Amino acid sequence: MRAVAALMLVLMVTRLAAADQATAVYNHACSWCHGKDGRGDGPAAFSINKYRSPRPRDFTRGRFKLRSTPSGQLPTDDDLLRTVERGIPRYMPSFKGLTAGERRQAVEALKRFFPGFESAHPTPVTIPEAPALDADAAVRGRRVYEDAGCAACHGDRGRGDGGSAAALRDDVGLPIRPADFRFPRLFKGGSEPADLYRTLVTGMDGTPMPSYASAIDDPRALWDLIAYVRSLKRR
Amino acid sequence: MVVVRVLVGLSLLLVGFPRDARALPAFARRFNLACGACHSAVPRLNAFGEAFHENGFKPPGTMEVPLPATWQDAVKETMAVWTRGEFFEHSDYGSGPTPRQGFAVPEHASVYVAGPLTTSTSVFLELENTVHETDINKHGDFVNSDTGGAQKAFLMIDLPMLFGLHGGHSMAHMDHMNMDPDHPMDMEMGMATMGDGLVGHGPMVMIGRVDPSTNFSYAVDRQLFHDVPADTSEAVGSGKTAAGGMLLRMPLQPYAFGAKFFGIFKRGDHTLLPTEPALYHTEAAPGVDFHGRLFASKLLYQFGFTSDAAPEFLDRFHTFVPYTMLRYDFGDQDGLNGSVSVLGNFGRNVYKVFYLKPTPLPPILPGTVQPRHTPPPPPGRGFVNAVQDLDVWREGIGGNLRRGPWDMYAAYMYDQVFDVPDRLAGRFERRGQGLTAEVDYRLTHSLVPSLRYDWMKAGGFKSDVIFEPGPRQSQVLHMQMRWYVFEGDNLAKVPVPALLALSVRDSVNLTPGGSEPFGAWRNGVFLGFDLAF
Repeated sequence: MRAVAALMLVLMVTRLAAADQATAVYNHACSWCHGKDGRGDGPAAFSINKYRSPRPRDFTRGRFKLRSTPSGQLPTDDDLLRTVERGIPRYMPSFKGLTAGERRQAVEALKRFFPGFESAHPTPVTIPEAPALDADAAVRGRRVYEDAGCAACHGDRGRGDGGSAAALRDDVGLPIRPADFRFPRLFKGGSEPADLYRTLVTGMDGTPMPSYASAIDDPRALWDLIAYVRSLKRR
Repeated sequence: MVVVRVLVGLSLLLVGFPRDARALPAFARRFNLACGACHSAVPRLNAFGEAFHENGFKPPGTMEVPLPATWQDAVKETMAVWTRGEFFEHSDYGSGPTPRQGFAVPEHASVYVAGPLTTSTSVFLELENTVHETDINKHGDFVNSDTGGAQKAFLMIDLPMLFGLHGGHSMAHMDHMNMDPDHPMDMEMGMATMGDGLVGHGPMVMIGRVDPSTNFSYAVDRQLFHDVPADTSEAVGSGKTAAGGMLLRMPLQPYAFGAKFFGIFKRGDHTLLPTEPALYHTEAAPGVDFHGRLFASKLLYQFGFTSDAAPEFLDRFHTFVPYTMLRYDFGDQDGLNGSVSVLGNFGRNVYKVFYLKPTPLPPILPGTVQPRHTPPPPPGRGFVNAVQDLDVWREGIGGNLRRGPWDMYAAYMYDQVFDVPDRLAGRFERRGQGLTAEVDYRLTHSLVPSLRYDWMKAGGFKSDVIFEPGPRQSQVLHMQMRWYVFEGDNLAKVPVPALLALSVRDSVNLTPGGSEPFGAWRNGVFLGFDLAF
């Protein structure tokens, strides 16, 4: 019994402070999928989605889907933190179970993989206050949906089955499926109105989803579109 | 059994028709993930899934997981139902009696309740119902029965978290990281952080009916090839117990993990067939298990004990099965990664052997005249049944190698038994060996072809009342194609969260011939399925 107790003590006491906590947190929580070098090739990476997109992000490329910054810019720390905390439905768990400090350390560690972060000053887009997203707005949003060509990928009824959906590829050549608006819980960037607004104006870099910041420059039209997309949720 | 069936039915009602479909069984629903997050091919775990398991069914590094908010969420996010098995079989002898084919009831149905309860403690409970389990009692009679109950039931406790000895961070890092000093609690509940030195995760302790082999490089209970139970000839009859008949097929289970001895018995007086998993590699046994990681997480250590192969409760106090396992993980990229495990496992009094020994001489009563010399035994003295407990030592090595769509694993186990009665000298081989190797390949997103090779050189009785004499070596090749119809990753296609996998496999006896059990082992084509939700 004493021997077992002594062994337990030794195993516990051998927890030395890590030289680099940020790297340690990253290695322990993130590297399984994103890899020790941040290239998105961790030991579990392939099985996340096999031969399809999304696969774990390659941080060394400096392209991030989930941002609050204009297309082509790097994300802010808060953007990265939001992804760490929320996860990505079906593909990445929420890491809210890490402490706030550890989550920030994970963000700090992943930024080291792309030197551009050192000199970048990402600026978030402004998200105006949402108006009432009622049935009238949804009706107007349907017209925006048609005019903006959303149906080409997302399909006439928003089921992710548009004419070009089958041919879509991400920036590494993997087939990628457009979002199915019946299941907002699965939206990668979040399903709240502000989340959808952010996704529409920033686009999702590295995927066929473009930024509509200039194509739809009237915020009211964007909110109408959001009202329509939200109306497609399966009840 | 009634309880299991009621639970299965209840779960069907509660879990099968959620209003807002999400992902797959309990863990997937709780963490909103598809199967592929943790499995290379269900039920095989990928590296993330292994770390998830090691961390008490939480994402690696995390400690806090909120409990489900409502009882409906609790059911959805902690309960799962899984049924699996072969629903069609066509099998025949290498030579001999008629081929058999037909549809059958799937062998296994399980209900799971699992998940983290607190920052330090998680629970795992599996209630299983298995139909048509074939056993042989000490008279050589076949016993076909349905079995069930708690297959696995354990608590997993993170000892450092429980005792407040976790890693955490120093306050100095807060300044460096520009963190909020108003929330020091965040700093006190941190993960057991990993570094590059002698630091590690855990130790975690599992208490209850545990499955220690989950941490081995080749986990017993996570096979792409279903186990198929032993089969007996039609002569057995329809009752629960029948004398006579023939053993048509040994259980189809990885040979490396089998008991490897003919003519040995579990302490409950039922035959332990050579191919049935035993010791560390049973699917579950009551015990205590410690495991954790050292050396920058590369080394996983494990030690503990179970009371294995003892189906009768009081017998457990006679057995003691300590084990220790070390696993070294290498590679950290898709290019190449894997692990190597070594195992040492002792089983005290876990097996029994029945044999005949000479009738003992009558006792010499006090007060009787002592003869000057020992008289010879009287003629026709005869023999009586005798029983001897056996100890066993198992040592072995396992390995796992993954590269993108490839997943290869193998295990070799060498078993020796001790305390074999002198009367059995020359008739009982006390060593056995087994090897199992498998290759899986993700051909497409949904198709997984697999190839498995099994080899066993069994020990035990060279002939006995059940098995005829013959070579105790066997080689079997299994080929399988598994089709994941859905894995919870396309809710537009399958709105109810579920896993459905269909498989077709051909198992070929590479060493056929004769009527001894390995030679007569029947080739078989099986259609199987897994359905989980």
